[in-house]
Amino acid sequence: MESAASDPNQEPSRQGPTDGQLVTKCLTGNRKAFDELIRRYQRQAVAVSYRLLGNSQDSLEVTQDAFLKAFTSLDTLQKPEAFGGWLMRIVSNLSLNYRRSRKTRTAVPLAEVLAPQTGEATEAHGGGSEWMSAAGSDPVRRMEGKELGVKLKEALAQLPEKQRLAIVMFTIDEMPQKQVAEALGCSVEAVKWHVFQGRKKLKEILKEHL
Amino acid sequence: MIDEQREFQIAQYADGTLPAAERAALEQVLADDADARALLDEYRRLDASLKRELPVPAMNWDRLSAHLSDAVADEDRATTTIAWPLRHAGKLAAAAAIIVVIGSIALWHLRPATPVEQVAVNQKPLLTANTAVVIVEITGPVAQAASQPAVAQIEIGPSQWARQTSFGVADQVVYREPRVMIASGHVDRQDTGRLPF
Repeated sequence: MESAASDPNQEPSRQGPTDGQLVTKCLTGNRKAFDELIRRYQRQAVAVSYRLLGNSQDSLEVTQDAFLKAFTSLDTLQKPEAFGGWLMRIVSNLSLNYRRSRKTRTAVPLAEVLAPQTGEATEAHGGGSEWMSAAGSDPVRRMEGKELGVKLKEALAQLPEKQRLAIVMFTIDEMPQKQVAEALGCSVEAVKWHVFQGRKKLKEILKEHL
Repeated sequence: MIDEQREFQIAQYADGTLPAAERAALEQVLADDADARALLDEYRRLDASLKRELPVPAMNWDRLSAHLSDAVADEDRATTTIAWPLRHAGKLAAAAAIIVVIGSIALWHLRPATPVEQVAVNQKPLLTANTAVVIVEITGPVAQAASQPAVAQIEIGPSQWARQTSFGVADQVVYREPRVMIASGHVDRQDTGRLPF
C-alpha cells in the first residue's frame, strides 16, 4: 500500500537566500528583497484568498493588501524565517474580514493580470465568481465538474473557520503543516486534527456527490 | 465499524502525514479490512476533488508580481515621506522652543524704556459708628495711541489718611488679598465687587 508522496511537514526547498535572510535585508532598507518574497508567495496568497472568497478580483485585492500590510509591519515579525506562515495569517484574516469592509481603493488591473497560461486552470477570465473547473471538452463532464465545484464550495463554507482554513491551506494548497500551524496560530498536531475533522465533515456533507 | 482513532490514521495515511512508526501497522489493517480500504478510498477521492474542482484562476504571475512590487514601492515612498518629518519632529520642536525663549529674552532686554505715569487717587472715606470704608478711585493712565506698550504701576497700601486715623479696619484693607481689575474704557471703579468685611 503506497503512501502519499512528499513529506508535508517539510518546507519546500528553495535556492537562494532563505525567507529569514530576505526579511532581514528588507529591514535594513533593501526593498528588492521584498520583491523576491512577493515572487515566492504570491501564488499561495492568491490561492488561499481565492478559495476563501471565491472571487478572483477580491482575492487579488486581498493579496495586494496583505503584501502591503506585511511590508509595513515587517518589523513586528518575531521569527523572520516564519514569514510564509505569518503572511498566510494576514491573508486569511484579511480574506475573512473582506466582506465586512468594502474598499474604495483602486482595484488591481485584472485585465492585465488575469491571463490564460498553458498547463494551468483557465476558467477565470474576467473575474466574477469562478468555482467551476475546466473539466475538459466533454460538456457533461464539465457540467458535473461545475456542480461538484459548487457543492464543494458550499460544503467548505459550512465548516468552522479553523477547519476551513486548515483544509484550504494544507489539503488544497499543499502548504507545509508547520506553515499552516504558524498561519493559524496553533500546533502542528492541532492542524492535523482540524484537517481531519474538516475532511470528515466534508465527506459526510458530500457523500452523495463523491 | 471503524473507530475515530483508526479513521484519523487512515486520513493521515491518505495525505501522507501518518508517522512512519504507525504506517506499517495500518497497512496491515488495510490489507485485511475492506471497510478500512473503502474509507481510505473516500478520503483520497475527497482530496482529489478538492484539488481538482477548486483551482486557482490562471494568472500572469510575472505581471502580478510586478504590480505588487510597484504597490509596495509606492507604499514605501509614502511612508518615507511621512516618516521623515515625524522622525525629526522632536528636534524641530526643541529648536523652535529654543528660538522662542531666546527671542523672548532678547525682546525683553531690548524693549524701550516705558515711562511710569502717576495716577490720580481719589479716596472717599465713609465713616459710621462701627465701620470704616475707604473707596479708592484710581484714574489713569490715559490710553494713548499704541506707539509702545503702556505700563501702569499700581501701589496698594494704607493711605496717609488711614494711618493717621488709626482705625483698626485700615489693616484689614491693607492685608486683604487685593483684587485689582485693570480695565480700559468706561469702567470708573476698581475693586468694588466686595467690601472688605
